[in-house]
Amino acid sequence: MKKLSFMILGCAVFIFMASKAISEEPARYSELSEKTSTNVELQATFPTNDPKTRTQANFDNYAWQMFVALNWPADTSKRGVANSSKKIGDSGTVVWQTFRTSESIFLPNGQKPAPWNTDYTKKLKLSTISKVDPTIKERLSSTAQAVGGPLVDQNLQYTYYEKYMNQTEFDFIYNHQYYDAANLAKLNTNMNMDSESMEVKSAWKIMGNNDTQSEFFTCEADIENIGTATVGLVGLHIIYKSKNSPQWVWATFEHTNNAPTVNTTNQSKHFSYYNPECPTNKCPENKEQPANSAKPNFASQVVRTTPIPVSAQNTNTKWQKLLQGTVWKNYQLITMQWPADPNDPGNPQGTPTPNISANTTMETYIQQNSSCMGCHSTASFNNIKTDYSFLFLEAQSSN
Amino acid sequence: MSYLNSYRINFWGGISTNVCTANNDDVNQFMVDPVKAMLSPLLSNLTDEQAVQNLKANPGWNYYGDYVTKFNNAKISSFGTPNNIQETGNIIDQGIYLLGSLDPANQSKTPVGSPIMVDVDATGTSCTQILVGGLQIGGNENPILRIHENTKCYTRSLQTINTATQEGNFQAKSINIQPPGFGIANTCWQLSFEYNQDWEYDTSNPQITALVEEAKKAKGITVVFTMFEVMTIYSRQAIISEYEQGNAPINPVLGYTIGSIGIWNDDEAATCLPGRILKSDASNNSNICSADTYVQLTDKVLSLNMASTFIKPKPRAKRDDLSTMSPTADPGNLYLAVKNSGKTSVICKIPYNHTTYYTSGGLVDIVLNDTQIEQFHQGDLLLVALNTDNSITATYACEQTYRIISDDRGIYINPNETKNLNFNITKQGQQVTEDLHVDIVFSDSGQLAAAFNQYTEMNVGFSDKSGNPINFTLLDANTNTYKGSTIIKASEAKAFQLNTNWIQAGLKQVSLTINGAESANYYMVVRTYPNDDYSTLPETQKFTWDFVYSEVLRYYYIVFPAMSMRLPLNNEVLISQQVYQVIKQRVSKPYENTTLLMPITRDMSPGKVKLLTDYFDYIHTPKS
Repeated sequence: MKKLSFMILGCAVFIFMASKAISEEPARYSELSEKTSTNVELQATFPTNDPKTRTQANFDNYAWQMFVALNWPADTSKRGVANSSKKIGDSGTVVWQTFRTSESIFLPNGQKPAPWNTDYTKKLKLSTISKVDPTIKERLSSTAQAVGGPLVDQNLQYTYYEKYMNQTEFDFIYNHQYYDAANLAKLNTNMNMDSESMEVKSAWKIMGNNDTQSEFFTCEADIENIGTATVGLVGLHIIYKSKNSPQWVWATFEHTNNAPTVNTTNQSKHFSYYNPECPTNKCPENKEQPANSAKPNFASQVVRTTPIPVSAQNTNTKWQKLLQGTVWKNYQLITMQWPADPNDPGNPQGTPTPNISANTTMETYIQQNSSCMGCHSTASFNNIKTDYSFLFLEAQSSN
Repeated sequence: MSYLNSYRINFWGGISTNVCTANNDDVNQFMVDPVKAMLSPLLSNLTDEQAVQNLKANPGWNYYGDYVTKFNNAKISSFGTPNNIQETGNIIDQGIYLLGSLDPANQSKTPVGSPIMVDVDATGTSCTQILVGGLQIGGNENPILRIHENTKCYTRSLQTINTATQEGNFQAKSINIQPPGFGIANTCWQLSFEYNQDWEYDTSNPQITALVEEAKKAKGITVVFTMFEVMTIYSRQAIISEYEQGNAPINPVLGYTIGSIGIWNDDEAATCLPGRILKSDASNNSNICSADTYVQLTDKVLSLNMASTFIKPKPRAKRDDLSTMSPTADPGNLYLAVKNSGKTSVICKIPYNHTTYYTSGGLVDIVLNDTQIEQFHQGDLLLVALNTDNSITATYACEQTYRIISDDRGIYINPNETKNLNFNITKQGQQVTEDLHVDIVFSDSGQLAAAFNQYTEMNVGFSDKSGNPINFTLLDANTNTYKGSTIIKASEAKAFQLNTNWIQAGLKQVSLTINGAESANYYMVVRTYPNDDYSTLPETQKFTWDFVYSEVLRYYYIVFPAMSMRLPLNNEVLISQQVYQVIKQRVSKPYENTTLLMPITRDMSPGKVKLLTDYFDYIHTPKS
């Protein structure tokens, strides 16, 4: 028989967390009231509280608030902090780009990574194989999607991926030494990351002659076997563990010119991943590329199999209007997946809403059954759940 | 003694289940073989994409269901001992939750999944089951009771309401929004948790402490609950429209639940409600009856479970708003009567309150005097309405004289396996005193099972306690119905045992009828797994992705998309190289009684499990 004492412990933890947030990070985040969760305003502060009124429209708006805060120009000396003297759309590195990449944390032999704010480099490095260890499974490489092969644009260039985490998640891993697989192997209970942990996954294409570079958020990247090139952002996943959503909230954005929705008639514009002139028998839709190929074999013919929900479309219209004059007006929310039932002990997966969520640049080949929360709920290391994060698969052991 | 006569904690609220319906036989036009868990020839020759599109054209009311079943905002409403029920106290308004299983592979004390409702027979026509991994009262911030134990329960007292006799409001609503196959049904469930030292509870809470202290003296606790007035989120037309637009919403059914937590005693079944059972008499002119009433007398206190006795004629206005409960039909002056030698006499008035009945778990308690107690044992019980002159104006429910009480209801039988089935037969709540004639009738469970010719013969055999085979004769070739009989001695009725053995793959509904009663006294559903044997195939054939996918995984990828939302089952690299260890674990024995077993549908034969695991082992074993 065991006696429960959760109430006292719970309060103590809450007080500790609240005081931590107030005393240590006064400038980085803002608390949102219900009123502000529906605001359509360009703000640099990251919205830490998800909507109290849990509707799709409110969560879609929340996704855009996160997107704007994360794409705000970054402070030049502190990682993860917005430069409030600038406005969104101004040149320079944006906030999420100053987060720590997974390969800067999961080092060979489980070495201890540098503290959060060190090693502040702005140049993106992209490769066709894992930068952690070439022997690691192919899915961890910079060109492979989580499920399925690589994605090739209409210029016959691979699409590249990079994963980042914010300071809260970094601190959790750093303090528990979970950057070392040897320590992960000692876990015997499921991992529970701190609230406000966040991961960002970006998808990039190399800017080609037929791409209108001014329509993309771009940066310079060192690309293996190619050299320095300008790459444009085509997809962005934002996953965030809010206090009210232990299953995290899952926003995914794309460039508006990625691919058309299946069976849509307006396919005359230029798409990065679709050729309207190519018939289906020559360019089968959403066909997987062969893995482990040195060079792309064919241009991917991508179509969106699940239409962007009406709620997201309406929200996009509002925010894109607000972002006129910036490159960010060319990006759109595809879905915000959120737990409709986040705190029901009988429903730990929280009822992911909507049921399907797919980014055409990151879940190209599994769009019809793609669920961010469903898939990430299986994330584990040696049968221990890793709180929806697959990043721990990159950890190497000091043993 | 039973939960009806002991300390109880009552609750009411919502309940939902998100079952996948693509294998239901009323919708899928024989596209799948539910016995073998394979695609039928109609689909198997198509590409995956074509097969999905074919199935999505008519997948029932919930193609994307993931089987999650849970209470929805159900809360404690009252507690106490019979005749001393209180509605104020610390525990009132605390949430009650059924939990999913803990993962046997680690020591985490937090479930990662939910309870699940899974049909034994794929069609769920007559019986389904809910698998549960625990119980919690109070939210995660301040639980006051938390139990982690794997258990399950089965549909009891299934009653489909006759819409033709209901008020127009319900009828109109039901035609337009009810999912086919699930219908306006009323079901009752019971699951039990055996007390052990690992139970966690708040000793400062007097109600929980009272319950646990009683449970320690007995076997544990039992949870009895109903599920009724179920409606899907989307209408049938709306969900088809969503699919046609390329959307993929889930479409769970939401309904009400009324229930009680009470004491589970050593001599009681875990899943079968105790007491005498009064069957609602919907054929009578009352038109207000719903499902069964359970009655038990202990010492001088008569307790009745009337949570399902009467219909609730006006359904809720909004399908997803379960915050209020409208009254049941008003039965008028309600009495318990007894029928003895053709004469009906009234025992006592039943203080059933049709507007507040749900706050007390639908339970009603009455203290009887000695005369009434004597009457209680004199014959079959009746639930009647009396006129002012004491004449009976309506008979709402009549006792089923013989009851079969058993936990054997959803039966899985592996190839070449024999299982013991155990029953307790009672007559008017007492031990029987005469020998009984028991008919055993089994037939195909649903159209799909009948659709495949290879399953038209008997798929199970029965023998008596001594192992003597029971002979069966074909009653109806159209429904593959067989009948056999046996005699049960009075002295053996309390622990009546049958053996059932595997003959071939199949899905059968089995009913037991005592002394030629008009309707079955008990029924079960039996799934006999196919004897899939791949041992003679060469390794170069059977240990390839194409073969394993076709034989084992493809069915689940096409028919149950929710599974591939977790792990895309058609992706060779992911399944064979990256998550194979997880899959090996999830199909293994330690997960068998958990809510985490893969596949969740529990229809993968042992032969296919072996093929899958052998394939993983083969490709990951270094070759010399």
